[in-house]
Amino acid sequence: MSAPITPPRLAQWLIGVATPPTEREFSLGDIHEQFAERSSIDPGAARRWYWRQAKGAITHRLGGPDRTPERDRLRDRIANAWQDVRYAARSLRSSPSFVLVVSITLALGIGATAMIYAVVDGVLIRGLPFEEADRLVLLRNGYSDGRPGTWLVSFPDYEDYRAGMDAFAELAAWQSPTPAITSEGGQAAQRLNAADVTANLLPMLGVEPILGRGFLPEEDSRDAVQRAALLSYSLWQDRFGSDENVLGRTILLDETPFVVVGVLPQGFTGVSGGFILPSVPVDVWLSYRSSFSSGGLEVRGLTNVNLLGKLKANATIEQARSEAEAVAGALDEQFPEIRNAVTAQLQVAEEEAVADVRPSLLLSFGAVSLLLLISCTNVANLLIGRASRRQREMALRTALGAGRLRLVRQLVAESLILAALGAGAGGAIAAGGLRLLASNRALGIVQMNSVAIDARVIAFLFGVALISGLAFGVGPALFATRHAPASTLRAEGRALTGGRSLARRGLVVAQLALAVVLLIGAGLLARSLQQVVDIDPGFRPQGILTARVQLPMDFVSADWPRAVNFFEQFEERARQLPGVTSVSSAYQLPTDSGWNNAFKFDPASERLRGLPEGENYNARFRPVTPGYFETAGIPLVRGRVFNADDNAEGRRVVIVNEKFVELYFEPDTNPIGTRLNYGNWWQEGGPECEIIGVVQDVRFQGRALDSYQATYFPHAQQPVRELALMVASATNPLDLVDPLRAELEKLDPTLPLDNVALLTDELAAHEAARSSLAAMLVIFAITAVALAAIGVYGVMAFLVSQRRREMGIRVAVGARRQDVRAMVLLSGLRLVVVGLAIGLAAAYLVGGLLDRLLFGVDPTDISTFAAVTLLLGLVAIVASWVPARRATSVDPMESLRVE
Amino acid sequence: MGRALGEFEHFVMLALVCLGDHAYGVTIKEEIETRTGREIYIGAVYTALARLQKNGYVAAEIGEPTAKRGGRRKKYYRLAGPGREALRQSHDALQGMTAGIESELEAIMDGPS
Repeated sequence: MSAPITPPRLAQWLIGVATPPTEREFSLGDIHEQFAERSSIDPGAARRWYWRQAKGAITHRLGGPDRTPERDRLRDRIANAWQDVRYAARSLRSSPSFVLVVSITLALGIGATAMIYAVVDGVLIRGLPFEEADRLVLLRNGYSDGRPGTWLVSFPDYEDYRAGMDAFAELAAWQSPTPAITSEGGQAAQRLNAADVTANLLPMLGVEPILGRGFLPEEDSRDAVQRAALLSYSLWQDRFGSDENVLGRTILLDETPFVVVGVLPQGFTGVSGGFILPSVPVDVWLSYRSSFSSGGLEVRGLTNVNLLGKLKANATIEQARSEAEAVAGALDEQFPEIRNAVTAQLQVAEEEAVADVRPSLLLSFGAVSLLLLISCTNVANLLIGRASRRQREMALRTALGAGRLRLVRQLVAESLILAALGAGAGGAIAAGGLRLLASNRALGIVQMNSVAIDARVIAFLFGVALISGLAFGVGPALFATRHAPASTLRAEGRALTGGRSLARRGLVVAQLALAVVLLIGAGLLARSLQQVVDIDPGFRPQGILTARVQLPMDFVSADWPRAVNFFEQFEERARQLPGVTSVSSAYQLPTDSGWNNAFKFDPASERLRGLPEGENYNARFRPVTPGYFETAGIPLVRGRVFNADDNAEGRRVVIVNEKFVELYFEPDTNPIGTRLNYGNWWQEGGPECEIIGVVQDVRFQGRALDSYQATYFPHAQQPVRELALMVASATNPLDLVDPLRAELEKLDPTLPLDNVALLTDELAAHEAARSSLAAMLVIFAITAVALAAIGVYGVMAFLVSQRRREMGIRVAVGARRQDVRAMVLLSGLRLVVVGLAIGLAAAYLVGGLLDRLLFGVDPTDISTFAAVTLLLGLVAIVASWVPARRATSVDPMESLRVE
Repeated sequence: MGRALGEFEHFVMLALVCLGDHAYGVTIKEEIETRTGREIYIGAVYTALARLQKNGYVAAEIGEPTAKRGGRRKKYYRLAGPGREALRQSHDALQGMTAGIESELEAIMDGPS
């Protein structure tokens, strides 16, 4: 017997809904019986037949052959509503320009709101895209004596935390992704982002491979027979062509073989230490204990793992914290020479993930809410205007027997149609805006790519449209139908506009006030951005192309001089390219924040700033090649820069920055000649270096952040396997990209050239979050001003038209035109002044909310307030002057005759 | 006395009369379709049956579930006492109305529509 054929599910459900509950089972059974018979003849036809039954059931439900009073009433109501909608649509069709203006106004407000809502929903409301993400907790090292700062944990410490804690159902460790080069299978070399993770990390996050399996416990072991790797979905697609036979294949990462055991689902980008979600997606996951990190498994001083734990269902973070602190305290006692006043710092992962973006997101949401309010007031204003033009029509229809409720319903139907149009266009605006935000990784949100217009956002969109449709529609509809028909018809719409014009004036005042608040917010942020951009970063980024080269692990592990030589050769080749003025390389670009290295001062050092002897201090660790300071334009303050003699055989030297001197030395001390002691995990007792120069500070954490103490080393003395090349060019630096690639290929065809960028862009990237927020608010504010101008213009035109007769009389009896014009203008200005005053006061009161996002600007910055007042005042004056002028330039007799 | 039958309810009751022990959703629908030449949806049949049961005009008996019906049970219907009475009244009413105008009706049936 063949497999049973099932009817279409949706159709089945529809039939169920349309059938009385008591008969549902039997009805569905009957249809199923017939369906089964028909299926045995022609399954396709049977499905079509089933759908027809569903359609029949629904239409029967709505208006079957049998009639009941309730159903008749329902039918009438639907018919009436349909008639209202059709009437409203017909009446809107006759004024297309009105419809256009209103829908665009609404689309701007609704679209901007939906766009920001999508981001807020995706980032703040949904949280991290992991299973039970609210129970995930980060564990890091911190000082127990209250000094600020946190850093990573060592692997031996991780194992002790894991063994000594009860609050976590699971505690996983991983290394922040590092690049590894793959070049197997005759394909071009590619730099992959590889993360070493303990086997329990992915199951803890609820991530299941879509192909193959996760890591086995025996693979996450030093004695693993094979090194296992899991691929990201995109790597599997792009490099392996979605081939299912990839399982079991061996891939080479930095010349080390790994066996592919699984492929992870689409959309899983991994975890990172900082924002939980990595800014660059992870391509390949390796099992921690058997991969590159295995060298540090027993080194307690090597603090390089991120810890993420999942609380047990009944455990609290406080419980976890006190347990972790107990473990940390025991470790401090056990290893005093490595750990000193170090304790565990716990942080809820979801809070950490959004801590940086929450203020700017909430601010954006506030801004779009204001914008939406402005567009709603504007539309309400336009609708009142339209209503007063239709007063006669309404009066006539009332006189002919239409009930007020019916008229109101038709008017509200009009606003709902307008709102629906606005929502449609607004959806398009939101989608386009989101794409723009995602391409710029706006607001510094790493999960921006996963933000999308989904069902929730669409529900929000139409919810907002419905509410605003009712909000701006009901008031005007009540206004429009307020008066007794006879008096309206008699008065021809002249004298009955008092209340309505008051409402319109109120709306304009509100609109101006809202626009002031928005404009001041945008102005303050724009000024902050200007302040930041004006700061000297401490180096000269113009005309410099940068690119990163990383050597495979086995290239360097045995032979550091070979690595130094390789980079020297590459630099030399780059120097020969046309237009190149200077070349050098560095482990960290001037725009890279980098990380710290610990050192001790030589006990013989003099004039240190009252520092206890033998303590560990830290500074940024920055190996550079000769010529670095010249190429980057970092001025030397005293001493000398590195030269070719500072090589592996030469005396160990270091250059520090001004911040370093300021922090560690007595004022007016010459630090040259002071010796630093670099003991670290791989060189116990490490080399001694002598300070030979002091350079100016570079704000490598971004211009808005203060500089950090730094130590620069000659790369030949502190070789690393990865350097960023900086090529200064007299011509367009981007022309050098291809020649550089070609030179690298000549040196070693298996090495990729990565992170190719202009140094100016790298610098600007620091300000990306700030500048995108400022740019967004400025766009919102400009929209708000435009809407407010339309509002003021509309109301002034309305008021003028109401007083045309009066003005005509005044001119006729001898008043000068400009006096009449001034009178009109003055009445408009009164509104403007009131609106501006309210807005300024509101901006002053809520300015504090912006404080965290501002830089170098006071939230009550007087010049911003003044500029906004001036700008909006001018716009409002122009918007009221135009109708005033138009009204007074017609012949008085004309305007008298109009009535 | 219960309320008068609607046209469709009348049809359903008449179908019950001629189907006897075999009256359930599908057969009732097919009977009406064959006799009236109209396409009937099963939902309509069941809506009418639900109301007729509520009025006590129709009684039902529930059978065993079968695989052929997707594991659902079958419900057989038959006329109940008040139903017979209502059917008789409806039928009388219709006959009362047509009594004496048979030839005119026939002319309408044969003539152009």
